[in-house]
Amino acid sequence: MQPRDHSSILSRLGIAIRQRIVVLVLIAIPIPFWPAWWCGREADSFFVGDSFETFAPLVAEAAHSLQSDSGAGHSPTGDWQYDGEWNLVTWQMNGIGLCQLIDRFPDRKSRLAPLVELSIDRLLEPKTRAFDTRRWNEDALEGLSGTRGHLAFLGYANALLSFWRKIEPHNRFAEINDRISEALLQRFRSSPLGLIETYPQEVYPVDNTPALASLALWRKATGQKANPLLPGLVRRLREQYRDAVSGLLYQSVLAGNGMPADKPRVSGTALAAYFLSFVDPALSRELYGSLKACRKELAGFTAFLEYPANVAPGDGDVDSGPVVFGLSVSGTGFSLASARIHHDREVFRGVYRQLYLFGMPYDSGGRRNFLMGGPLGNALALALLTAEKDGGI
Amino acid sequence: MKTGRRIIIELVCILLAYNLGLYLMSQMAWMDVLLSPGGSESLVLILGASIFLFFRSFVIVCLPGWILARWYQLAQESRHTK
Repeated sequence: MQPRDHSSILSRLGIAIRQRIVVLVLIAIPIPFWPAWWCGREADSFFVGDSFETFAPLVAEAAHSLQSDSGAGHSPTGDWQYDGEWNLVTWQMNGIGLCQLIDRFPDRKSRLAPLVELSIDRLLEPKTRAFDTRRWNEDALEGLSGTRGHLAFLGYANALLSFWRKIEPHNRFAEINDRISEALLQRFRSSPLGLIETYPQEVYPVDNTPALASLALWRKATGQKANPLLPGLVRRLREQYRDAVSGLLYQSVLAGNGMPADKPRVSGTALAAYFLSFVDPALSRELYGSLKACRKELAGFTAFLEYPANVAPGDGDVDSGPVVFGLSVSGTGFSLASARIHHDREVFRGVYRQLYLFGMPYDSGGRRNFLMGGPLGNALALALLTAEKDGGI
Repeated sequence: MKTGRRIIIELVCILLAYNLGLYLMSQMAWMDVLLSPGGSESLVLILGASIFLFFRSFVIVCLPGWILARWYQLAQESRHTK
């Protein structure tokens, strides 16, 4: 081969490499600003939240889900217990989101109230709590006077019942709301840990927070005097069940002595920060501060690590969703509510962009369906995007 | 002019494929298997949902840059063929 040919090949190679570099640079040029702008176009409308029209597609999807009983025969997790939990939270979060909207747009109450009542009807159907009945071998509502925790059903269901009671004090669910609230108070009073069992021998601090929220809302709805029990329970949550270094809540504790049984985690803490905004906005803010130490940002997108830096990272589970590069799917989503509650527009924008990119909203027939999350994802989006600034109280 | 027309045709094809995919995903509810632990043991379902997720990420994150890059590539090609 002639030396001239060598130089020709090298020259062509050089040109090809240069062209590919130019192609890659051109592809990369818009990445720092375009995806963030595109995915965050609606973020400020949701953050400000002063127009009902912003939320109308989410409400339409909730109405569709409630009327078609989207949870029936649907097995998103392939596990009867998790399916049951997801179904319960779907109805609860739909109802809570709708209540938050009624609080903010009272003129829409006549349209939204029937949907809230339908959420509660779905929530109180025996099939919704069948998973809890199976775990405890007892129906939660039949065992209200007993001592078994049943927190998976009682805490989450009563949060919606109490919220609706605050809006409509003389609603048709008032009696069951009173009975569950009294039962929860009795269980908290008699618990040496200050926490109620979700399932036999299983205690999750995060599951106690909707129960606490339900009691705070119930007290407000019924005009009762402040109950000294609640501040004591909140104090124990703050002092005993938070990791001293990260400030996050332990995901689970031992039923015998309350010692940590799992690591401090973002998914549980983020959901707790939302529910605690109804009970103690100061603790909710503290937890949100701890959450923010676990956030990661890239090109305007914000996500949260599931495990804080001071503990070894672990795997994902049904609470966190898949953990990819250490990032928590549900922890990131739940943080949307805290960002709004605590007026953090920048984090709200960053998380909303994630929700848009990976939640995959699909608008059709006036409804917005987040394809990635299914009925639960839609219900969570409604509740978290409508969370009240400064908490619900 | 030819370059511009070709890019527009490619862009329209990508957006059509994307919107068709989005519509199909909404009808078949495939995407939620990615967040559901053990919800589906069908590898095809998970693979299909993952591929569409990557495609969506490409469309949202890279498409404007891809248009620029294709413009550059096609301009280079037409310069060499002249």
